[in-house]
Amino acid sequence: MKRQKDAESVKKYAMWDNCRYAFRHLRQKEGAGALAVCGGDVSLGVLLPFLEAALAGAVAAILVSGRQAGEILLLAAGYVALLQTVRFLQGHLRRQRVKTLFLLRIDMGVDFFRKTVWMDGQSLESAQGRKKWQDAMRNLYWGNNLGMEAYTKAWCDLLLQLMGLMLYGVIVGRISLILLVVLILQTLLVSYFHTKAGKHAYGLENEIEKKWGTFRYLRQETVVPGNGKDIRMYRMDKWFLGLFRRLIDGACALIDRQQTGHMAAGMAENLLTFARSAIVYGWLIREMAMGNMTLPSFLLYVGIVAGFGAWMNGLFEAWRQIMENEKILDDYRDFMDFGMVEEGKPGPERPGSIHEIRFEHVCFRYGGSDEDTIRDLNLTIRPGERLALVGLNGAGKTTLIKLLCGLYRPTSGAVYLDGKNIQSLDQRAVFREFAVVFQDVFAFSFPLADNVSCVDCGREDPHRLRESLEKAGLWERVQTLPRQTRTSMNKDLDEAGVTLSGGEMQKLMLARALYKDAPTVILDEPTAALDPIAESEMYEKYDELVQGRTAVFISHRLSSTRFCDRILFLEKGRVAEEGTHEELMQKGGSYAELFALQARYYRESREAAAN
Amino acid sequence: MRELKSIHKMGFRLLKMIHREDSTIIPLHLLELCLSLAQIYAGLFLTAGLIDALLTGAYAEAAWQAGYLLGANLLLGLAKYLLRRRFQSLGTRLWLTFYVWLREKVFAMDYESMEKPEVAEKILFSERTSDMYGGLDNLLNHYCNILQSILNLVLSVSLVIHLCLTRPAPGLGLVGGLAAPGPSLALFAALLFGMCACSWRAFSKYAAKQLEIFDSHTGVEERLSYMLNNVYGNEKAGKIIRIYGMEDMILENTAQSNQKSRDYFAKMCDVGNAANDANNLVSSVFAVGAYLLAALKVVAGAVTVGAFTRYAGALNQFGSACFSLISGHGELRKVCTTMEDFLAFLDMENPHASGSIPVEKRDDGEYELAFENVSFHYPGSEEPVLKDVSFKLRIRGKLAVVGRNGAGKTTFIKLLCRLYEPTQGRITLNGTDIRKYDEEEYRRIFGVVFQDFKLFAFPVWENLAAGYERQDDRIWRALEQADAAELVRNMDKGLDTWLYKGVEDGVEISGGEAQKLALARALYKDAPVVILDEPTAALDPKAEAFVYERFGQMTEGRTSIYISHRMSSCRFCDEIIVFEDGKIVEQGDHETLLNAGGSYARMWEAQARYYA
Repeated sequence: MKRQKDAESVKKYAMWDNCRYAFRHLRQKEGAGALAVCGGDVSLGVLLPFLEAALAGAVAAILVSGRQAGEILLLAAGYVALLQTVRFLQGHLRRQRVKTLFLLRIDMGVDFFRKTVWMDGQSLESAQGRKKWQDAMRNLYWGNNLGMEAYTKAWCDLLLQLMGLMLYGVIVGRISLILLVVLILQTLLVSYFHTKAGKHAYGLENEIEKKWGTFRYLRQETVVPGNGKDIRMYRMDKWFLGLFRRLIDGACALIDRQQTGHMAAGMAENLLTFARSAIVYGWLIREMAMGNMTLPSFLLYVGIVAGFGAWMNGLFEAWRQIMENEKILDDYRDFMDFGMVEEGKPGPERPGSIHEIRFEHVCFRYGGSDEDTIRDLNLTIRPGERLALVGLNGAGKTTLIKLLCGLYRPTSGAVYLDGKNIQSLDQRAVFREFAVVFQDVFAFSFPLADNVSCVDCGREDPHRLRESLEKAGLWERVQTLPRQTRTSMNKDLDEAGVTLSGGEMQKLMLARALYKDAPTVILDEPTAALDPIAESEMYEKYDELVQGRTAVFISHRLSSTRFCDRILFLEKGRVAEEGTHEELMQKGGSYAELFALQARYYRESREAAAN
Repeated sequence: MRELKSIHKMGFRLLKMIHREDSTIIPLHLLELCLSLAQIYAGLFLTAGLIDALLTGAYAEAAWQAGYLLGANLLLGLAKYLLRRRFQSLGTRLWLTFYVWLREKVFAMDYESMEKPEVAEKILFSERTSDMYGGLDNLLNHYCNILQSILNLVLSVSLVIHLCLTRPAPGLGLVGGLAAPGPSLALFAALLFGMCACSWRAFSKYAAKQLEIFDSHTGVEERLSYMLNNVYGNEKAGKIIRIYGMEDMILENTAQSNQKSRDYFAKMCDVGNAANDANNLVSSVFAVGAYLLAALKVVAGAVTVGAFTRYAGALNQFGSACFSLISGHGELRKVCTTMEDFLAFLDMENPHASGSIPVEKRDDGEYELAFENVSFHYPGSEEPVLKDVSFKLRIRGKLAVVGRNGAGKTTFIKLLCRLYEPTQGRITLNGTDIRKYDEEEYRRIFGVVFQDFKLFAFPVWENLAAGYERQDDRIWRALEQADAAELVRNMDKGLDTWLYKGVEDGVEISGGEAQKLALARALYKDAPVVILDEPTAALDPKAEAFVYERFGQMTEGRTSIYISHRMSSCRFCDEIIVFEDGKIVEQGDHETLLNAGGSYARMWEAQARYYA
């Protein structure tokens, strides 16, 4: 039910509108010359097959004309030379067209990237947004035969085939309307069979695509070096290789079924062509026998009749291509119109100073979920306060901080920054007030310095870079790297890149937040991968790290609450308990219970030692 | 010449591999190729007959000729459709099988080799080139094209020579003289030679240019594809880009690569176009010459108008066969060159010989593992990660491994699992060097949850059983032990529920839940040694306490190793080793080490003081 709603939420665009969209972009990105190339390709594309069809007839006509030998040779050579010139030009223009349309696809990537980065984060992160992005991507990055490139090409082809068909139709219709009817009937029947086979094949496409998806996924995962450990320890090679083979067998069996349909249609076409040709040849030979026709026109008509079917088939194929890519273009445009890009809102009043942040009756629900993750939450964070956020997995801690820094919009209620509703402020300006260490540690495969400073190489402040790395406890390690702060992270883009360990990555994330020097710092599980000494060092330095800032600390390590002014215990999207550590311990509620649970193993030892 | 030889050596090796994979592919393609040629030449001969009959006014004869022509086309056409039915699936199979071969090799490799960047690069490169230029299916197609071109050349040249040898009617002066066998052969030879020479020159010139552009262009597409998939397409990256204001930096970065990529492809297209233009020009000139030659023969009365069409057709065939031979060979060379890395990868040998002794099956779990003066440094690095480690694992004991980040704990485990081999010293199982055991059998005794364990987007049961048999009752028992039974029971389809959204519309699970499933996977294997590397990092205090409480039960009757930064976990282990700088610096139980006041005590105190 939910899926269907998702599918319906993709906007549909009229076919003409999509066509205009494609050619408008072609003109914008590749210039008016691109349109001229397409037009030239169409006209030569009609002319060339005609000249070729007429070749045999024309040369025969010259040969039997009874002229002088030299004249005959000159004329024949002249005709062939003309044909070759057109062929040469047509080939040249066709390749120009291929190039232009390919470059169009590359150039449009920039728009797509810009949109991805500038649209609001919540829309992009949502399940719906992810799906839209994936679908839209196909328009540009699924090869030459799908999406924008194929779509624009198909429209050019459609025009070409239509004109060719009209030309040939007129030529045949002028000598015999019945013959024209026979031709049209035959091509219609042929295309009926092919359409039927195509439909049959299309019906299996989903199943094949599913196998493909699995295959792609498995392909990717099986060569990730890190996965090699589990693969070897759990004998997954047997599982995966078997699965690969099964997927290939399955997909090939389905393809065979598709092809059986195509084969039947092809054989039917062959039989129909035979019948058509029998009629045409019979008629033409009769006309010749009756003296109504010369050999050259006989040959011309044979060529035209053979070409007629090709135009018709080409027309159907172009139409099919358009229809196939229509959906992809819809998806792309839908994504490009999706989400919000806001402009003209004011920034926070006092940027760079510590703020008061207030939640008023905030509810939040993820799209597609039937339960609120945050429920009617009220909370005021005082400027400069140190807040600890604790709770079990799934209590809503991470969602809360995304609401806090304005990444997510509340489903109802509002978040206020210094008394101003965050929604009324410029989002990017609000983001500048926050430095967040997210739970999922993740570095871009750029140089380390870029990952910390978040600006291009060379534009960072080296002093600040060093200071933040030192504070995060990573400076010494950085000194041992092959190119220090210039060392690339991971090996995706640079063979000499380095993969940091989990603990080091967490320090890197911390360094990034420190470099930003924002008035509000949010740390989500920043010590999960740190060893006990590093963890305790961080606790000891915490005061210094967040000096003069508002700070929110999320951790499963309840020891971390000790150096916070206030603890919020979150349960099912609500603040269940709040207060200082002592207050909450005295209260003896959920927090105290949890603390005791964690402390037990440390305490028993103390008691044991005391005994 | 030598290059030619090496290309076809590779090509034939791949053809043999293809034949071994499916023995019908090659014969089917050969048969199809013969039918195509038959169709072309039957058409040429029968059309010529038809025209001659029409010219002489023998209309009944013409009707018969037309009948033959259409009949031949019908039969050959039907036969081709029958043959071609399976081409699509066979081609797909070939193309995909390439990836499977690659993975067979990847799985058979040492883990150590697999982690090497140059190996990863080889794999990536092989894959990408197969994606971009087509793989085995293309190789086969190119070979078929080449063979067909050669056969076509032989046939058309014999026809053309036949044409040249025809004698003109006497008394035609200059035309007659030129149309005589000698001069017409010379004319044809000149045409042929001119065409070959020009084509070859154009081909080599542009091939060199293309290669030059190709070589000067590296890494841009990799960069773009990284940006697309791992930055723009990464759901984790979006919030970081926004919060840290990286929009402009990222966009600028991409725009630059995009521009480079655009320039590259534009240049490649231009050179390709120029090459094609040059080739087309040559073949156009040849076509004009060829028609002149045939027309000359007609004018000189050596052949009929019908025969003219046949010979003109043969000359046409000759031109296109030459062209497709040259371009087909160029394409084949491209494919073979890209396959070179793949073949080199298949030929790579494992640096370590694999043992063959089976591991003794013991019900009592008496597997004694020991490190004897083991040192280790990662390949390509001089820095030792483990230094002279000697240690005996107590059978059915519970061992805790602690130490600071980077002290060598995880490496210790990887060596134990034989993912790496010691650079010095040895590891023994029941007194025998582990290198002497069969790898798979040896690994069977370990159930490991690595820090960066991986679950795949497949059904729960497949993830748990992995390479072993599915036994539902045992899976459920493992799930119970790992505290994940509740979780799976609450899923829509229980064990058959798909995980993640990667393949099917499966369930998303949190890090903590994934950890429980990974634990269940380790327990399902029913291995005598269980190793847990940071199993509670993502768990909340409640779940963590549960693991602690149940740890004894989970590992009952087995040897267990527990690595954690949470010192509390040492409490339920009966032996602790402390790593520092690649060495074991302390060893003993909790009380002893605490009283010793060394590294262990310091780490313990660092955490415990907050819980006082």
